[in-house]
Amino acid sequence: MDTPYDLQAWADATSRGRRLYNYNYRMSGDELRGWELINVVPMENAPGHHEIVYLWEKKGSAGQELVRIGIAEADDWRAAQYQLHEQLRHSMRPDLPRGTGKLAAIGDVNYASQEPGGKLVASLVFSLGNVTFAVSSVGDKTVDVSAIAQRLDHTLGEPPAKEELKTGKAERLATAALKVKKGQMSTVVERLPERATTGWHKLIAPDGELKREDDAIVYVSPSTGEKKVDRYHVAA
Amino acid sequence: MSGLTSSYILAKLAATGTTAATKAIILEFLNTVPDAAALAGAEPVEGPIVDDPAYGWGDQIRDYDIGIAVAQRILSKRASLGSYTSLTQLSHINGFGPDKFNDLLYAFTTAVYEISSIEFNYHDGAFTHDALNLRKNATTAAPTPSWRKGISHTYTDSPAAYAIKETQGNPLGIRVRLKANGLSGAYVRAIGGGCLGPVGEKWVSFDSAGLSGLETFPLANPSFHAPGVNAYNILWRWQWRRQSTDPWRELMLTRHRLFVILRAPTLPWVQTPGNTSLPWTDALEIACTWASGATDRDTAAARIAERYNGCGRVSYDTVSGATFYGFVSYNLTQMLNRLNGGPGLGGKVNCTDSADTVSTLANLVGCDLWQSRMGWGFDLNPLIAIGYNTWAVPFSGGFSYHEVAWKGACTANDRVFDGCLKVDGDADPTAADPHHTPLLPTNMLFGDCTTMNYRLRLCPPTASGCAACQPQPATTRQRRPIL
Repeated sequence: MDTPYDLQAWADATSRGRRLYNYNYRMSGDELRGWELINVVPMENAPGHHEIVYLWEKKGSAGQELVRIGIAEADDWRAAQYQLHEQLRHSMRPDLPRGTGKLAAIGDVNYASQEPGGKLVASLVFSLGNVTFAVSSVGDKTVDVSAIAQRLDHTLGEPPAKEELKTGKAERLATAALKVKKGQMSTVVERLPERATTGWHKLIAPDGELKREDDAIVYVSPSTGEKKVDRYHVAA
Repeated sequence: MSGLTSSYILAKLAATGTTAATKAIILEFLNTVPDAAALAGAEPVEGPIVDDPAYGWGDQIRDYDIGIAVAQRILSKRASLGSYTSLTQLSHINGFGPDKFNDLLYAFTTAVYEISSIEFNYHDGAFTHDALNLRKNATTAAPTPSWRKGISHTYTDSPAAYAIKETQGNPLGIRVRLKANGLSGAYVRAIGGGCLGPVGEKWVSFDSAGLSGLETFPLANPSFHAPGVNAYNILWRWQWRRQSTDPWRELMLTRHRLFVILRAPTLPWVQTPGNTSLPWTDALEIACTWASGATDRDTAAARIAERYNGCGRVSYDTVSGATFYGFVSYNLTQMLNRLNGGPGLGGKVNCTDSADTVSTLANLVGCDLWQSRMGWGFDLNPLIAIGYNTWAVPFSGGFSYHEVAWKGACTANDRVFDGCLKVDGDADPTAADPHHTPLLPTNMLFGDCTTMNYRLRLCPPTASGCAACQPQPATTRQRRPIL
């Protein structure tokens, strides 16, 4: 099946996501003010592809306003973009538009669809680093999901806020600077913990790219020298 | 205070030599009987408590043993106690005198007093003479045996499913374990049973501990074959007697949920014991109800497509036409949740979700459908998407692909069941004709671009319409595994 979605063009335009790695992010129910998390469903969309769907209901909407958030983790940003490509292949709409204006900055690559004849953005799918997101209005009353998508982009794409670090909600882990050689892999995390026993881990490199190799996270630098990868842990 | 004294009860038990086993049986009966009617029994049929003709007044028919009023008092005292732990606690119950206490002892001293279990499915490898292997859903096995004393209370607690084609003309049976006290054998049967019919009378032997073997009883006259697919509540009244000339005595009622399907389910459903894709009773509830009355595959699939399209619980994703219930596997669990009034994964679906739902539920009742796509990138005629009642051409004119439940090899020569949309059923389905007749495509030939079949109803007769809408079975024909 031919699609208008060009993986190589996406890769060429990707910079921020190459330096990001999120492991084991989970929504717990307090992320969206005014919304209630009513269903959490692990999906099996492909081997080695961990997608969890979160269904949120607007409080007081009696089920009329629902937002489905699918969050899938891949081994690296390329695999995440491949997953996004797969997801788009299973959309019947042939001309999914890219996000424009403020929405253009969401993720490494995104597609934002408005309701027919309206202005509300009812679907926003994007990849950011090694994670793919699908945020969709799935109730009888259409909800604009762009603010939710922006929040997810910020949550996974930026370091934890000072307040979160100050209150202990998030922790910056001590990491030594790495002596790296251009183009060679350096191990940042020797062995990722089991998903069930750990919280959410976020890594941000200064440049180059982060990816998973078996149970390790490695960093590939574009230049030789001393580099520091920031690593954060947020309790489950 | 009226009724018996504790000392009378103790003396009577000693005088009659009532065994500890009999006392325990009576206590269990008194503590588990659901209501006064079940305790008193339905006159004039005997039991569960019967009049001892050698003691007190009269016989069972003209006289009485324990009636509703006294039965209710016995249960009221049970409620105040929490439960009976000793027969002496039957003291001081108004109307419960020596004759009725004697009847209670008499009834349980020699009696078939328990159905322990009922199996409908006792051949894992076949279902020609018994029921199919089942699960409740993806995570929960079906009860084994189907009915168990003390565990199975409602109809749905005890499910069974039969395939019409495979059981047609064959004798059917069930397997039952029973318990008796003071008897080496008795005749047992069950009456009622709706379309499963009564359970034929059979002599059952009991060992010294009062246990029967796993007894195979014939289903005397099942009548579920002719009416086709359906789901039924089945109630059996179990009865026993010592000799073939005795009147029948009541034993107990058992309730069962019966699913009737056309023939062996096809993939993704299997009959492999332990597999999570054994037919789910949660899915059978919907599939058998939707296909109710169908006696052939095409009718069953058509009814399921129609009921899904009109279910009112899902509507088409007119924003992006995205797949929400899985494209590698199909999350049937969440779809069932949605169809049953829960949130599921939300109320939006696309053609893949719809093809999955129609084909998976149809195959559960014995149809033989596939999920398969047509494409790629083609123009559309006006249509009515699921959950809507207005004609529209989605997405500025076309689909990147479309997916349906499809028969056979999923080619142009095979028929489709499209639960996702209604096409225009009149002579000119193109946008040029303002008049439209809604038609849900069920058992409709996919066809070519010259004759008015599914393809020309879905797409205009153009190079970017019908010509671009090609069956794609080589790469897309499948039956997604269920979650």
